[in-house]
Amino acid sequence: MSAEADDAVAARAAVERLRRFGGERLLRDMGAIFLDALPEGLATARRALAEGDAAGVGQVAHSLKSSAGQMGAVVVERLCQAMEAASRTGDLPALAALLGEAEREGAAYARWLGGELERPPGGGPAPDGAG
Amino acid sequence: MTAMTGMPTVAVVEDNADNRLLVAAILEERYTVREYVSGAEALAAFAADPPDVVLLDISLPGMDGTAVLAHLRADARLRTLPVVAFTAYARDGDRARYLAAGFDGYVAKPIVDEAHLLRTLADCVARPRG
Repeated sequence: MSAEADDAVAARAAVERLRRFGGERLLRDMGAIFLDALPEGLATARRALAEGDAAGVGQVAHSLKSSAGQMGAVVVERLCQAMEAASRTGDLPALAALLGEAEREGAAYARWLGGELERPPGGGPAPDGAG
Repeated sequence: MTAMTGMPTVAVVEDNADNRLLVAAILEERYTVREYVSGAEALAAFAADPPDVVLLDISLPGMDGTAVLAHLRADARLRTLPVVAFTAYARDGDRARYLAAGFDGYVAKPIVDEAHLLRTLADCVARPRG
């Protein structure tokens, strides 16, 4: 199985796990929070980066990491983890590259999750690019 | 223990709304769940009415989870309160590090296995407090 397919499976599993924890309502509420928090967090990180504040980027990355992991946005989770590590060494060029990637992957995941939330429970397969 | 429900009370101290929502959904059938968004807010509430167990985020803004634990351990009335570290610091050695720092349990984020969360809290509530 490709890494992309693995990521899609992980995203699907996370969504099903949330349904198990608290039904459709929990999934929708958490999805809505994450769809707000993700772009907001990434924008905060972008501002911190512009100010050369590596620790600020790291703080945002730490917070987004667990939310992304809970929602099955595994690529975003990995990128946040890498940003957290880069923030500890103050590696601003690495943070810039990782943040750009997180913004792209976050947007792709948000599109997937948005579709997932509109779909009735037990609907069709996850589209490609879930990550 | 909450007199009305007979269920133990868990204080969830967590600044992320999604994590509070998730934990409440998992725990609400077994615990009375009280939610706090900061360590300062939680400490103020515990002084008047301590819970049976605390699920404490580490990376809180302002006073972090480790500082909240230190405040609790320094307070004669609250020092035996069981406190579980709830954290996305989940690399090798983190669990041992938090237990060595005085936490009574450790639950990593994201929550994949709700049984681990339930078991950790139940163990803390059942443990005699000395």
